[in-house]
Amino acid sequence: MKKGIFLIFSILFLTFLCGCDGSQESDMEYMVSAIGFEEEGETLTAFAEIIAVNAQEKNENVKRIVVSGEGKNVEDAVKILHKSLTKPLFLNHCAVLLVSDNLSKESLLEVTDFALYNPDITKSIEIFAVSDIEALLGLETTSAIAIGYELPTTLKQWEKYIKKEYPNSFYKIKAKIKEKREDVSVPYITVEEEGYSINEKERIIFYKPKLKGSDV
Amino acid sequence: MAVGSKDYENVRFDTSLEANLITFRNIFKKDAIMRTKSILSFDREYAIIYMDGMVNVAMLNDSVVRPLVTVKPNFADNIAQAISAQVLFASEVKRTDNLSDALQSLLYGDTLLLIDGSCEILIVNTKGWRTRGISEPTDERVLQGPREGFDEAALLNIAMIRRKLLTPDFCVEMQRIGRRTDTIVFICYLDTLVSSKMLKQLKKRLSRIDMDGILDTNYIAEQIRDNPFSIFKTTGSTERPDIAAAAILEGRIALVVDGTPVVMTLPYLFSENFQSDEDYYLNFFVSSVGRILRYLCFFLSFSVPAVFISLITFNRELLPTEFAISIAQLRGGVPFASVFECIVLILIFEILKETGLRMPQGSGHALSIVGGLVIGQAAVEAKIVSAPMLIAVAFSGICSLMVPRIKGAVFYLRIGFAILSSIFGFLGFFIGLTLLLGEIFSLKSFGVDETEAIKHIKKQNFKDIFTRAPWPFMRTRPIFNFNKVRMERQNKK
Repeated sequence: MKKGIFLIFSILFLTFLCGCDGSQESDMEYMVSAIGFEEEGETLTAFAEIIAVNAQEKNENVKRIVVSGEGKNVEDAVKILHKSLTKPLFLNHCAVLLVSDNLSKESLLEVTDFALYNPDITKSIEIFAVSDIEALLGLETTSAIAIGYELPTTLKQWEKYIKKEYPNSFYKIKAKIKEKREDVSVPYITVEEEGYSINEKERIIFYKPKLKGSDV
Repeated sequence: MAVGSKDYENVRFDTSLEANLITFRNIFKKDAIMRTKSILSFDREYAIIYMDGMVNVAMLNDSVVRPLVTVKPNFADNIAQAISAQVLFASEVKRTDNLSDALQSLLYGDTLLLIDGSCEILIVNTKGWRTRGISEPTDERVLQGPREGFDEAALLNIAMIRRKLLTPDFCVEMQRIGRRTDTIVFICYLDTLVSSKMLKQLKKRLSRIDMDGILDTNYIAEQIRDNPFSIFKTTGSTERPDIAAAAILEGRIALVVDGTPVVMTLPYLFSENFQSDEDYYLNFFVSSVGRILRYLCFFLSFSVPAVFISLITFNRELLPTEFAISIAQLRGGVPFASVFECIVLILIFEILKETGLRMPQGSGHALSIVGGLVIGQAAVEAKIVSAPMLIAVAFSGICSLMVPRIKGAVFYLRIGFAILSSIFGFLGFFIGLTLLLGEIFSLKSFGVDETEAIKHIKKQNFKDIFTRAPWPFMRTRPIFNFNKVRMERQNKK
């Protein structure tokens, strides 16, 4: 009797601790390394850089694929993005959230809300601003297997060089937006012919009516 | 129809030698090895009956036949007593008028001496069956320490234990169990250390056994144990006299069964599953490391495959990114679910292990080639199994070999945890862990909680569980023995 009661309580207690539901084999999903949002007029485009594992050629490096989906808002664009793929997206290893410099304030808040309320996106994701997301994601990587994994490490090297820290983790940015602070900024990536660079002087300022790159 | 010696309990011998001989010939009419010999000496007829191959013939001739034909007894009152006291040159002679006793002794290698005119017969100890001899048990090898092992002859085994316990406090009680085999079972204990309640409980349970034959200790163990359907042992077993003696010295009871070298010890604590025979013969540092490793390996043996399944199917976010990509790449193309892979690999591992134990020595090399190359390498290349799962299962299999005393239980645990993890992820793993702990903490062995020492948080109780304290610190016996003092505190000068 005692053993039974102990077991029932333990199982109920453990149920609150672990939130595991839904199993999926690791090769039956696309692992997303970077996700980005770009706005043009009334259309919002969602981009994703996914790691494509090629099981047949075991010595081949993993391939990156850039996929996109267009919609009226963030939710719509992400839905279209999902539908265009044969496997579901696995966002738990997504390291970077890219925002284009032409996102309106409303869309920007929608993007941050999407990242905040999506349980698969970890709060340590880093936000970068870029003029052309597709061009950035289409570049060849130099140090990591994907642009999404390369950008954070590149930024850390850059911070050591300029002896300055960019507080661009998502949870820090979101906290500042909630506090309605005007000095919220993220690193700005300039895409060049054969690569990209982090522009120290140009930054994207959040929470202003019109977003532009400007000197601070 | 009579099937055992006990069925003749009410049959008494006749004074006529011929009638008694006819009785034996009728009982053993289809037995080709029973021998009878008639002897006429000093105007009296005698007959000896024995089982060919079970008696020492030279001893029989010297202690029974020769004295019978050369010494003339003085028959005062009792003929049998006179023969026993005045004629026979044997160390052990018993008289009986009961056919059941006579049959038991005859079938155990004694010789029966029938005397014409007496309703009593004499049972002479002439046991001479061959034994395997003392050798080291294959499953309980040690690097340091005694290398004796028990034999199939219970009397020899008792003698080996008695040689280590040179005290008159050592008690040996005999019982016979089994309708057709009448197997002799010796209950051994130290009178001043054993729990009388436990002893009484044991005898009660033994008396309830009613089966045709007892050929091994396990026949008895499964019928007297607590928690009969538990995957864990609740009685100990050993083939080493030093381990049996050590158990008796801690207040346990040893059951020596004739016909098997395995001796049962009880009660049995759960921590004994992690003790090695040579823990007490090596330095305590070395023993302690070994013991900690065994506990760790027990945990790893069932948790590694389960945690791996949880990580790659439910909680992939916990894996480092590069490792997650590597797993996805290595798993790509395998058509089966992870849990199916895991269970199949566990079964293959167990099959290889069992085959390795039972096959002839010469085929061992072929088996290692088949097991290693074919199953390991070829199966991975053919995408039947994935390399990470193979590594996880192989590692957990090797860990399970570190705790041979619970290898049976570990097999079920590995399968069970893998299934739970595949359904519920880490929640399933912790559910399994809770159930496992509940099971372990509910185990009893003859009224003693197997985890008694852990429940009572006393320093002394922990000195021989997770590590082995040096001998000067192990002053008391295990807790079920009410902490009777094992050694007096040494006087400090």
